[in-house]
Amino acid sequence: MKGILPAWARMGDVAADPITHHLYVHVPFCRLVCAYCDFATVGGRAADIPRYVEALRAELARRPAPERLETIYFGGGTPSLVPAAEIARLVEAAVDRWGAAPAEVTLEANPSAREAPDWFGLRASGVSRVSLGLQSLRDPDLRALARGHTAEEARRAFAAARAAGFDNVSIDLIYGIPGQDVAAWREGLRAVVGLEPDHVSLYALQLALAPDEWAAPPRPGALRWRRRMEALQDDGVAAAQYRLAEELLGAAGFRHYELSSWARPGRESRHNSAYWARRPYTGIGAGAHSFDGAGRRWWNHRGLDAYLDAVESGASARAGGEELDEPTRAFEAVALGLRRVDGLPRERFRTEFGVDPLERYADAVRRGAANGLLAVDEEALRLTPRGRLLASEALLGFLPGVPADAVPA
Amino acid sequence: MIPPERIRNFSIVAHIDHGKSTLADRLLEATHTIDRRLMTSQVLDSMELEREKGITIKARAVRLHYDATDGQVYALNLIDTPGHVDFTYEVSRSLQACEGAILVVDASQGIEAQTLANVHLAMAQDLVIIPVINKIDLPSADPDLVIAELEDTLAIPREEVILASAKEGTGVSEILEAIVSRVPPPRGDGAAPLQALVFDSHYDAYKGVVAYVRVANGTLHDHERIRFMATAATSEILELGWFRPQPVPARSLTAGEVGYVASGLKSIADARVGDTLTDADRPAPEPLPGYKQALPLVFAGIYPMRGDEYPLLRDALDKLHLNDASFVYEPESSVALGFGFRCGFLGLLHMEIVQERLEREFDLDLIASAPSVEYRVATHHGDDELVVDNPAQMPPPGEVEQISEPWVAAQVITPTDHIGAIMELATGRRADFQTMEYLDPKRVNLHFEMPLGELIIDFYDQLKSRSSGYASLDYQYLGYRPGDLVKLDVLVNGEPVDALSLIVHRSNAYRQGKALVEKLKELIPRQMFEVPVQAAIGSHIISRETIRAMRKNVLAKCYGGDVTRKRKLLEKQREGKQRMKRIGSVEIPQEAFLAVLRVNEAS
Repeated sequence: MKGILPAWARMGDVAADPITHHLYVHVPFCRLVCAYCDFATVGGRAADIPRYVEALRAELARRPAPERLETIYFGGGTPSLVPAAEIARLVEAAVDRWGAAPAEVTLEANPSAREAPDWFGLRASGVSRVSLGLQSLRDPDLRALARGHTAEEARRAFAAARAAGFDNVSIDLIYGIPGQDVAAWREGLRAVVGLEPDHVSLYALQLALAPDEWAAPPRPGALRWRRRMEALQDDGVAAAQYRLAEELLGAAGFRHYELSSWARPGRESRHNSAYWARRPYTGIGAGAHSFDGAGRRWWNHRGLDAYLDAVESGASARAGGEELDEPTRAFEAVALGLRRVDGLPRERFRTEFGVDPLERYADAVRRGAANGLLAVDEEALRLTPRGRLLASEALLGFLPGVPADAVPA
Repeated sequence: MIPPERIRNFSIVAHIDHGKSTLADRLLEATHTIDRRLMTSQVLDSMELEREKGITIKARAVRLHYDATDGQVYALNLIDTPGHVDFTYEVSRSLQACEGAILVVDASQGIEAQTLANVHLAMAQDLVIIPVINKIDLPSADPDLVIAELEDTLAIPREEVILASAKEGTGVSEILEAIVSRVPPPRGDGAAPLQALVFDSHYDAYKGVVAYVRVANGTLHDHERIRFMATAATSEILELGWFRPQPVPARSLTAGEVGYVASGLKSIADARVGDTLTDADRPAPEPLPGYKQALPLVFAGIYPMRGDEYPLLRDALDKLHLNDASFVYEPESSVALGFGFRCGFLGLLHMEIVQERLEREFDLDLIASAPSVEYRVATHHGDDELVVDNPAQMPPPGEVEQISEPWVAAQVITPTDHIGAIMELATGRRADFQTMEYLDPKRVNLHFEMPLGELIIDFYDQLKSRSSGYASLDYQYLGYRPGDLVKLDVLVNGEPVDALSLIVHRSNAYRQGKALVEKLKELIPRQMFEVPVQAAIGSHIISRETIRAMRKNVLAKCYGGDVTRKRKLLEKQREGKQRMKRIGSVEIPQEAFLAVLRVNEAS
């Protein structure tokens, strides 16, 4: 069921096609909940998976199916805990709903041998792309993160996915792990390149608790662990690791196309690219967000039980939402556009907001350039290599309602 | 009309948290002055801030009608007093309006330094003391020990002591009877020329300045023309009466009575605490004794976080000053902080209160510099001494001949276990130890003389932390003494930050300079470039730390479910930055300006 790339679908340019829609399916279940995880996850509830899949189908049936379905993404949690047959039914339900097969169906999988999925079954279910939560190919890193798998299991999982016919496999890696110095990172990264994945995502280990209401309240033990580990982190090392990754992955033929994403040509994540291009998406499942592509975003109940109760009683799973005003939409266009290494296309911004971003954000652009964070050319506004490490600093000046003197010089 | 022989004027003297406000509440209830159902806890402490801090800032005067066991109705005027070291003068004026004082001592804590000072004030004015040991319901209560302490330190006979629990209401009727039987009625000649003591005042938008008075001689009549003798302000009375506790108008207040006078005056500075109110047409030959103008001892710069709020800050200070004439303020400007005000306060708590009221009641974001005292500086080329209340204005070392600083006599009451730690603290702050008195076998009163400048920089916090919270402090101003003082400057990213300058003793300069830059390194967040922080005396750098550059600040991932959330996280980051002050190209948070107060904190 692998989609054929239409001619317009140059990667990172999904928005050139005005009619795509994207489906995100959240699967919150995990065998082990990682202490550093801030996502909507739940451990020890595997028995509820069949019930949850039913709820997903029910929610899907109630949601509108606008435009043309371009991608599906099963994220988590650990979507690979869901039996392949159930994944197949969900993909089928989506295809029925939209009346056409999507071009890309991604599923996140855990490499742990204890929860090895039925790779052949998944391949047959319509999944075309696998994102493996490898995190590292070094056992000391995996132990430091208290992951439930070893480097050897990770290699085997990757090989198993390939053997089942997945020709589009992405690997997630974590850097900034306490105890992982630059040399260790180089070694792990080389091993990953040696596996020849199609796509690599790099995430800095985020241990500070996000100061917001959406951060999962961590268990007391996890909180202590995070504090202890955070004290051992060094952002100078993390910065050097990121730079090294840009160098090594670039030399190995990967294109850096988004702050945390590298791909072989043509293997960019079409689903994620849709987020960065602000395409509309439907999110189903606990805590999933939906976006109409213009000014409305809303989200489901985050708790598993709250979600199940709502859907099973026939009610909407929606827990909250926001209307984006024009300044906020423009800010999001900049924030998401700048995540792309090609940057924010000035022409597209002008088309949507009626003004060149350089004019609208003259102060922020000037300061960003003066600090070596932003670069400008005829086509786009983009982050410099230094800016990719200090992106948040660069973005502060673009937030709506910033008084001129409140952002760094 | 209750005749003067059935009037009793009294106040309550107590340490913070020893239960003064709760006892006042019980007295109000027991005399039906206020309905129990309408009772909000601690009625007298009506300012929100007072309730939170558990202290009484403004004195209050409430008239209670009490049916005594002798079958007569008495008017009891309860004059509440502030219970903190900053307000000693106010306390003395309130006491001057009374013939008796209830001394409330916590049954577990015993006498504290502040209480002792206030009881001495009351005794010096010949007030009858009614000793009450409160909180006897607590398991840790040791009333016998406290009784012994009262006997030993204040020569209070044990049979006069009343045991009470204001919380549970025990002892309240005994206290009321004691007020009637032990406190003498007020004396005073109702026909003599008018002399009424002003012991507090507040500003009312409709009635102007409302003075709280005790009539010593003569009679105040409605619509009479009055004059405040010290300030010479005159007006016609708009209204007079009693607080019960809401104002109840009356026709007159005669000698011995306590009440309020609404003057219609527009500035609270016209009705100063301690002043004498008299009849403008038939003035008393002389005012009541004891008036003095309260002098600010502690100074700090107060600046708006955002420059465009300067006019708002000025308006807020003007308005606050209507209700509190005891702080002074004048415009000043700082290279680092822009335009603001140098303010003088009675003490540290007073400063904290004013700052909090500005922020809370006027919704301002402020930056306060570290507190300072007023130095007197003799220069090589000048006949007059300079008065410097802002370290930034200290002349360069080459021009200074001599700097003098204010000294205070400080008393610290502490359990004997902590004597060593407190001695060490005090001598480190250049205190000269004088004497040590034993209050009981386990508690002593230590007497020191020390520079006020050392006392206002976290001395009290250190005292509390080194004594597990048990030590208490009181101090009185002594006078100016010369000292070997130098100005310590702080440079951030090579630029001097005037608001961080401080005056220190030469012998401590290196240690304090080092501690200060270390603390600043902790308090100033990393910037996009490396930032050196230095301490200097004149052009001589004595200490340096470097704040490493921020290497990485990027949200690791951003997918469909993250967009709203990441935007909010960025907004939070920005809010954090907006609470900082940009100096040169470095963003400095508010806490950094108070770093000097925190150098002793563990990091």
